[in-house]
Amino acid sequence: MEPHSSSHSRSEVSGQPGQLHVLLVEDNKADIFVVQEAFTNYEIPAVLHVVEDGEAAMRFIDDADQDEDAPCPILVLLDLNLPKRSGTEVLAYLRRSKKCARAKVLVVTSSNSPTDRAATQQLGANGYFLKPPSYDEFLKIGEIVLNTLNDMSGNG
Amino acid sequence: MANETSASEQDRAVIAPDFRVLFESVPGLYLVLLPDNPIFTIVAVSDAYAAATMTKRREILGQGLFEVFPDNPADPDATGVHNLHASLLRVLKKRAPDAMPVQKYDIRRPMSEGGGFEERYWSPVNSPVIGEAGYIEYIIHRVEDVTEFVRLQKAEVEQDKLTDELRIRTRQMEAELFLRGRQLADARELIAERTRAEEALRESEQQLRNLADSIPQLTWMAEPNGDIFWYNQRWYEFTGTTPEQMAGWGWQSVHDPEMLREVLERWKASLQTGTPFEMEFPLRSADGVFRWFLTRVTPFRNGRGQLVRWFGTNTDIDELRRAREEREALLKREQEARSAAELLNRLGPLLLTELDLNRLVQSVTDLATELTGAELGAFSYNVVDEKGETHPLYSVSGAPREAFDDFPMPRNMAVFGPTFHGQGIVRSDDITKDSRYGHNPPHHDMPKGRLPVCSYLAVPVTSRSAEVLGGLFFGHSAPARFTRRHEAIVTGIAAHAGIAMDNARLFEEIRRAQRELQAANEELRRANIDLEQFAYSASHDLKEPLRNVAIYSEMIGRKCSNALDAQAQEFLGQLVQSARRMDSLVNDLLAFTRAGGPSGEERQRTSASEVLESVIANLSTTIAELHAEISHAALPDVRIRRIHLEQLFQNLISNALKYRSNQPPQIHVAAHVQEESWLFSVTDNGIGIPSEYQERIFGIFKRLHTADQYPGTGIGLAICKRIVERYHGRIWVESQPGHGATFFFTLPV
Repeated sequence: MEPHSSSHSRSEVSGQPGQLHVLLVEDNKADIFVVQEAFTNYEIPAVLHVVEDGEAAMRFIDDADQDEDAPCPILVLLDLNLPKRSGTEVLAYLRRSKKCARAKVLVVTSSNSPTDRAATQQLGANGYFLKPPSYDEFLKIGEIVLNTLNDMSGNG
Repeated sequence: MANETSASEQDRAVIAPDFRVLFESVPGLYLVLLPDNPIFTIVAVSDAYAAATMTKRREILGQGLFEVFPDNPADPDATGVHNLHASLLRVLKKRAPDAMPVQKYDIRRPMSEGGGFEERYWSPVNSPVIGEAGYIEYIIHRVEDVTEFVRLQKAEVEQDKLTDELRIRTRQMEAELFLRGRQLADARELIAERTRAEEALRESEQQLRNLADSIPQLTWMAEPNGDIFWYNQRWYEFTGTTPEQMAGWGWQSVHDPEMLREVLERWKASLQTGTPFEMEFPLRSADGVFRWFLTRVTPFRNGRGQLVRWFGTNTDIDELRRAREEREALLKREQEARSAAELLNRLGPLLLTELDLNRLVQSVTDLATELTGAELGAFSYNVVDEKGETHPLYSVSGAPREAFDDFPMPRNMAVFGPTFHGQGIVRSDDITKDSRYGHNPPHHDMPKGRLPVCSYLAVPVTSRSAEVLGGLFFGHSAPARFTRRHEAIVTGIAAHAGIAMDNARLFEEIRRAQRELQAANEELRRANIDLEQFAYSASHDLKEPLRNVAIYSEMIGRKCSNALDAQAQEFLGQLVQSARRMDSLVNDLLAFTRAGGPSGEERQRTSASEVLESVIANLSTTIAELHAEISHAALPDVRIRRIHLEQLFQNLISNALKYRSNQPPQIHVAAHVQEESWLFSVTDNGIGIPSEYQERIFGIFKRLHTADQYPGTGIGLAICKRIVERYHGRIWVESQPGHGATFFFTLPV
């Protein structure tokens, strides 16, 4: 089960013009697996990059800002409870980024706390996906991602 | 009449001045009338009278009184003629002087001055002159022009009624005195005018004395040098003296020794300058009691202007004077009362509105000090320290606080005991002589440096519950400064101050309680937020591994199905079921936690119909599957958090759908207003609930069925109960098994 390695994914796709990039920030192996399954099942036309803690996510954003060739995500799937830096910190960091600030953000979490919902909305999250306790239900995240990407390309 | 009694002869010889000149030039306003009713012929008139009435002597002598002085035809209310005539008739009938009240008697203006009448007010006295034969020979009409006074009086409408009455009385009395004092002279002049013979003179002298003896005044005559050679009978009667004792300057013996010096000084000054003498002084009566007299002495001069005689009258003004003193005392008291009332008026609103205890106490002390005229005042709390000695000074007035450092006032001395024990008021003209003073060990006598307090007044200030809050203390360095009235004022202030202090204390207590309550509320609110956050974190942390269990189990089932036999597949299915059920439990527990906690700040108006519609929308899939019908009546807006009402409807309607009979579910939601709440009802046609379980179902984890029959956590109705009770409402169910159920709950209007 190696395909979620970020470096691997990036090297594969870097340099290809017009390629769409989605960044998954998630520390739960099972959840990473399900999202990857969903990308495959729904044939999502984007490269999925995975980082497993908040700091790594910030580095990913820094790279995109500094390196012309580094991928810049148009959609971030963001867990909130992360090692090192929290999801809200990553979100705030993203919104200050030079190149990636306009990326859509879908919060993917098992926290149903109104505080978290409000905080992320305040920081400019575009959606909130409550992780279901079911594999089949969770796979439906692929539909949401697909719709989001379609909306974005549709809007130019 | 020439051969009158030898008594007349023995009297001192009377110099016979030119009485006509004398009479005509006297300063008073006099007419002499013949008693020839109804004409009353004018036979003599003083210059002053003629001037005052704008007449000329030669024009009116020999004329009838009322021809000369008719009523003003322009004044239909004129009563002058009528009243004067009535007075003259009384004189004729009673043969005695008749004083008339102030008269409006307008006088004719000479044609040379434009004619018509001029408005005038007069104070007239008519006196008979009775001849030897006992007949009334003349009537002396004496008036005083009081027009100015009356005008003044009319102008001063606002004037205190008492002042007016007293003034009028004084005026009348004075007019009376003047008149009567001069009657003697008048009589003499008239007599002299009638006959210049010495016999006639003697006769008139006798007549004069008779007249003089008949009036209430003490009268006397003196030589130009002041030697008194004659007193009337009243003098001797009043003073109980003899002519021998009174001869010359013997009168000094009936004077008040304290006043005598001034009397002599002024009398001698008059003698020297020949000017009239007027003074009030007491004279001793026969029984030794002094009475006040108004004494007036008028000099009489002959045609050549030589002073020939002093004529004196002493009029008893003792009562008048007493009335005047009473009035002055009354005025003073009234003034004091007025200023006291002003201060009290200031105090009134203050007591009602001042809720700051320190400021209240200071204001009360200041005002009371001002009202009592005390040099210093203090309010002291009724506090005794461990040694049982000191009452801390709370507020002082009239002296700096440091001045009280060495002052024993606040100490628990015997003298303060009664005040602090609420036993009553202590008022002392000289506290240093009070036996209770200075009994305070170790200060058995007055310590040095204290404020010199002599007059002392202390009043306890008590609360509504008769608790002594403290005392108001007042001091003055002079003795006997505090009167019963001050005591009454301060007692009144103390009574009101006690209530005001009660109010202020209560207000402070309430404020403190409010602050404490606010702090407690804030703490509770924070604790609640913390707890809610904790519940979310805990539920999240609990749910993560559960989700992993569920998802991995499912993935094994899907991805590795080839490696598993049917039994393994079933076990995996059970594992997923359990994990999901656990997830539901965690979710519901979280909801249950959130349903509790304090209500209040988050109460908003929530539309029940909107919430119900959204709940129905959430359940639309299930509703469609079951062919359920959900209807509702008009629903109100209620004060409840939207999420709470959502949970209520969600749970009750889910239950109604879940516990359905074999009929398609029919659910109806309604609301009725009650006294102070809304009564909501959710009615279904489901399986119903046996009566013995109708209470139990609201308990947490209480279920009537296995999870296989009806899946669920057993928390839903417990959440509902918790929410409803949070809003002080009630929830219950009415049902018969097989006939559906109706859940009722109440919410505040």
